[in-house]
Amino acid sequence: MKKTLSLVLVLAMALLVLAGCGGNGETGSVDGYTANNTEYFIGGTGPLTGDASSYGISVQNGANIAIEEINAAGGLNGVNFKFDIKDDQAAADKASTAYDQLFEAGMQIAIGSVTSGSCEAFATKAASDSLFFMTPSASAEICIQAPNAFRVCFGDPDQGVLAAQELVANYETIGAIYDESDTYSTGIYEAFEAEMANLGKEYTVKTFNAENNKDFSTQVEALKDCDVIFLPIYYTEAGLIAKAVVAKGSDAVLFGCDGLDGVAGQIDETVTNQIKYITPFDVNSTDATVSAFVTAYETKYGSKPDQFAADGYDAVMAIYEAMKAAGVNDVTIAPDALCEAVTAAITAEGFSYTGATGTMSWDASGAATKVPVIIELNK
Amino acid sequence: MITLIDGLSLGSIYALIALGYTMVYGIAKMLNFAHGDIIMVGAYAIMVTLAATVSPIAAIVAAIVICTILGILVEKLAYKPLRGASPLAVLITAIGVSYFLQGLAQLVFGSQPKPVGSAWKLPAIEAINSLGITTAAAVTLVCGIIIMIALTLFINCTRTGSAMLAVSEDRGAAILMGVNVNKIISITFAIGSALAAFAGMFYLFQIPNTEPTLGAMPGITAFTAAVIGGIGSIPGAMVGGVLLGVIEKFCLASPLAPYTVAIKFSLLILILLVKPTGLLGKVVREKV
Repeated sequence: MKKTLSLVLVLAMALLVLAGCGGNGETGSVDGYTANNTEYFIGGTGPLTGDASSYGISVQNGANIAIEEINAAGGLNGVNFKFDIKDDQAAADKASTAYDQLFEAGMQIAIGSVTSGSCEAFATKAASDSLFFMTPSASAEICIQAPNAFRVCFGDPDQGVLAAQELVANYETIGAIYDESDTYSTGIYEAFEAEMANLGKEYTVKTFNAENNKDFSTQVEALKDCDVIFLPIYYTEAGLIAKAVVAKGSDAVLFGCDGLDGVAGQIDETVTNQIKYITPFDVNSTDATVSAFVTAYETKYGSKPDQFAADGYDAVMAIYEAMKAAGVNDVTIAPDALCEAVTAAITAEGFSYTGATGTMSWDASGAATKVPVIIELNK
Repeated sequence: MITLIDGLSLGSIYALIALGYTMVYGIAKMLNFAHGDIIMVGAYAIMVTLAATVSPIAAIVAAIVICTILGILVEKLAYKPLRGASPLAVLITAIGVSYFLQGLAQLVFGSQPKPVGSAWKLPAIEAINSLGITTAAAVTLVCGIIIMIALTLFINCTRTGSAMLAVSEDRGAAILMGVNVNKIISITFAIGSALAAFAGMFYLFQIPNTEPTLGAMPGITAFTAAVIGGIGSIPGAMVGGVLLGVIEKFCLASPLAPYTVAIKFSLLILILLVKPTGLLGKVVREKV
């Protein structure tokens, strides 16, 4: 008796599931959601609350500046833009849900997600809908594997290659310290290692890991006579290394990657060594585009923008420029049609965009080609 | 050579912490796992006092006073009610105290590492620095040796020291001979915690950052050092601490660097297999 009952229940459930699918199939005409749009709708997700919220809020602020600027200048052929970023708390499942909400609200194009894990989930959804997105800051390669996925920031390996070229060109003896227990650090270092081999330059490398990330006297002892020490690591450890370098009386230049500007809060005036880092965005730049963005941001939010804010601004502006180049003039255009047009325009020979993080162009891989700035830390 | 000096100076920090473990174990017969976190409290005390007074001397004095009081408080509140309870209960309480102190520090100061401040530095000593030895390493090594000698003299040549030895050897007999055991155990905790404050000070000279989990790794390493040297034995703690410090530094300087932590702790297993009482531990014969 029980067996029959459970069988019936299972059958009923299976039927319900199938019925559910059928229902979706009938109403799920992809173009339907955008039919009532009166503005072009750019969506996105990012951590607006939680540990990583500073990144998401910066991107949101930067993107809002771009939207205001576009609409103040008359939008695209007189049609305004609207931007909505949903909170994903840097979690992949929340990014998926947020994507569905945005898509059903009529999202036509997106800035993807702010962090790599979320962006991977966002990319999966976007690929099945053929929705174009341009992530400001998700640097993992997996985020831009689909043909509809593009990014503004550098990929992790790019920085390693750039650092190798820069150091070989400018310094004689080179050292490196990286965190072998961290994916970001090893990702950059492996590319650096390969490029150094490629350039045929010898260098000394020392490592540390999550268990040994406080006392760097041994590593610094081995590298103290180098002209430059490459540090593809987070700023807390970089600060400790800087102090160890001072204690050992070395005058080596410290050379880091994006985000090393945070080291300023970790060191004091005893650190006299030059500290340089690769960054796509220099807040003190005198470039007209950059300083206009910095001024607008400061006026609206009362603080200086960071790299994520600049990336967010550039993601929206690049989408706008690409839509303009593609000659989009239908505000109810479906995501897949828009994706086709924008992808063609953005990968076209001769398309480039100049924004707060420099001049960039894209190829079919989705990665941005741009020249990084190497700046010295303002201590 | 420089690796050896660096290792000796790291080793003397470990030795100071290990002394705290071993004294408390030798006399109170308990493992005070909160010892590493007392170092952390000492480091924060230095940071806060330094920010308020800009005087390193005041900071060091404050750290020693705060750690000593904290050590006595922890003993009175957490361990004294458990005197006579099973060793496991005391051990678990000690781990609880350790988590309590870490959680408290996280609540008050946040989980981010904080630099201790620019007033916290040692003057350059040209004669030593030109040899490639940092002032911090030299000061740690010299002060570490002085503190260890002072402690040995205190234990062997004063009345309180003799009373400590007596309690360590046979608590029942010591009580019968008129030794105030509670007072002696309190003094032991006070001295152990003051040593932790010194260890925190030397730690900050070498690694000028404070964070709530700062004491965890040095604490575990020093515990290992105390066991390697023979827990309960004061010279053993020193030998074990210095040995581990030197081994750690030489590992880090060699191609074995990624395995440093593994090697450090494998040594414990190895020594316990060969000599279960530790290098300088006493062999206690069971009388039938």
